[in-house]
Amino acid sequence: MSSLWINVLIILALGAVFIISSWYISRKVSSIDEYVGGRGKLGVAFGTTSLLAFWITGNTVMAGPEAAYNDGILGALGYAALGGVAVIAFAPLAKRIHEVVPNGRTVGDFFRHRFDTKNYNLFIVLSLVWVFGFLMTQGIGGGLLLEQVFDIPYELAVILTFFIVIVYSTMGGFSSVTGLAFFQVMLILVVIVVVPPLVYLTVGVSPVYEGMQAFDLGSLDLLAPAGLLLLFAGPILGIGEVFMDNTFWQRAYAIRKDKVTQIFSLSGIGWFFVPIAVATLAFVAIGTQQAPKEVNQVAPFIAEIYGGEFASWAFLIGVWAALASSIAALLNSITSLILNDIYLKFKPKATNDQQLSFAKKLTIAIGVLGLLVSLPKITSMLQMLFFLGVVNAALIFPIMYGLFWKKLNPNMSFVAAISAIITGYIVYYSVGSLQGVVVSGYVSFLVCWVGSMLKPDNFDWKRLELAGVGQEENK
Amino acid sequence: MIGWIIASIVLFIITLVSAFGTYFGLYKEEVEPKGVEPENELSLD
Repeated sequence: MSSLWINVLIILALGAVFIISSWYISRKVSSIDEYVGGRGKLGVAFGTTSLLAFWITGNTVMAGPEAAYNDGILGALGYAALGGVAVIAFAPLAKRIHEVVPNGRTVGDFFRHRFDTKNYNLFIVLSLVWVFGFLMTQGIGGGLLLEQVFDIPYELAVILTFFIVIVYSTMGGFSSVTGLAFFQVMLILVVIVVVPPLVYLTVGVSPVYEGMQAFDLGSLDLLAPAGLLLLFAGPILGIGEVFMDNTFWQRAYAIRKDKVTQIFSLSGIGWFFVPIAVATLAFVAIGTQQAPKEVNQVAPFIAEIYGGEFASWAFLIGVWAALASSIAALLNSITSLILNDIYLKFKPKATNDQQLSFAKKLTIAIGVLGLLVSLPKITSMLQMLFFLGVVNAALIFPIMYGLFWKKLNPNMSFVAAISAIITGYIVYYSVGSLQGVVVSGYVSFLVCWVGSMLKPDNFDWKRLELAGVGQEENK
Repeated sequence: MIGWIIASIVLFIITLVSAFGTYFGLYKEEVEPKGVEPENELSLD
């Protein structure tokens, strides 16, 4: 049997396990709250694995080593800081969300009650663009990855992945996504914990270090400008992504209030080591002068050379589990956002059963749409993430100050977001992508802060307690 | 490039200080509302 069909069979077998497990979990799901979030029910174990399963994407396992191959040690640290620091920075916000928006379901609930209509509408549009763009990059990135590294044709890889994820995430919604996350994180950890040590036991640490010194001394340089820019501008992009992504807000609402800071901090620290562990495989490539055909294939390429068939299959299972868990979490996040912030505006009296039925149909529709837009290979994952990074950075301060600072003026928040996006994209196209993100962050900060100091608001926090109350009454 | 690196370091610090502002007394004039406690929980703890 060819390696193509063995790889397809591995994915089908894993998919069957996910679908059967989801069916088992979904038998207990009877309310819309359980389907789109659930409030304050997740403890340390499910909360942490749910966050890690979503945030460890196919890109984490592939682009971390790519950054290390290009920029050496600073590249690995920069990529790790991009995602890890962002989740840790969300920890105090998650605690605050529990305190000020106790009945909320989505990030839209916060925007609707904290700001005015223009801010809310702008955010819903930007949020849907962001989360749908992210879903698309997961589909495209996953298809390319499975095609380039594991010989599975692009279209077959995308269709297989989306079909399995749509089936299992439609069954039990958020409960299925978080229930399976525990198992998926364990699979991902096989790649992280087993493969790099296996490779280093074969090659040896000293030969890799000496090879890096001999062939690419710059990879050991801790003051390289490109690496330093990634190390500090990268986390700003990551923080923007996390703050505006409804997937993180869903988990902030779902995790127990007394554990929420601990869980987000632990997840951020845990995530930090995932790209670093896999990125060490890139150091082997530099030190032993083994160059892959495509730079993003460096980790599985080295794993196969020095770890053998076991390491190669472990990579396939780990990477596919990472892709499936991220796509499932995004499908559920978009469903939750559209149901809560669009459907319920038109049908505010919808019963629990009507909402549940609509949410399931919506999950299938979004999944099919995600599959269709992923088929043509429109753009690359990293390009899309940097492009959307300008929008992410523009919303950091409206969200953060909106949660903590009652003086934040909604008009200034609106002006800050719009002007940050415009100036950010001017710099993005005229200077560089990370520079565009930095400028967007600065404009967002200065307009929010200076504007609100000149014309301070006096927000009444009790208004946020009303967020999500209407939906409770419909149950 | 050095200018962009310094600018990104300063923005990085501003962002983190703002996010963890409650621990530095940055928002001390704010009244802390109370959240609701969960009715039940799903946990492995």
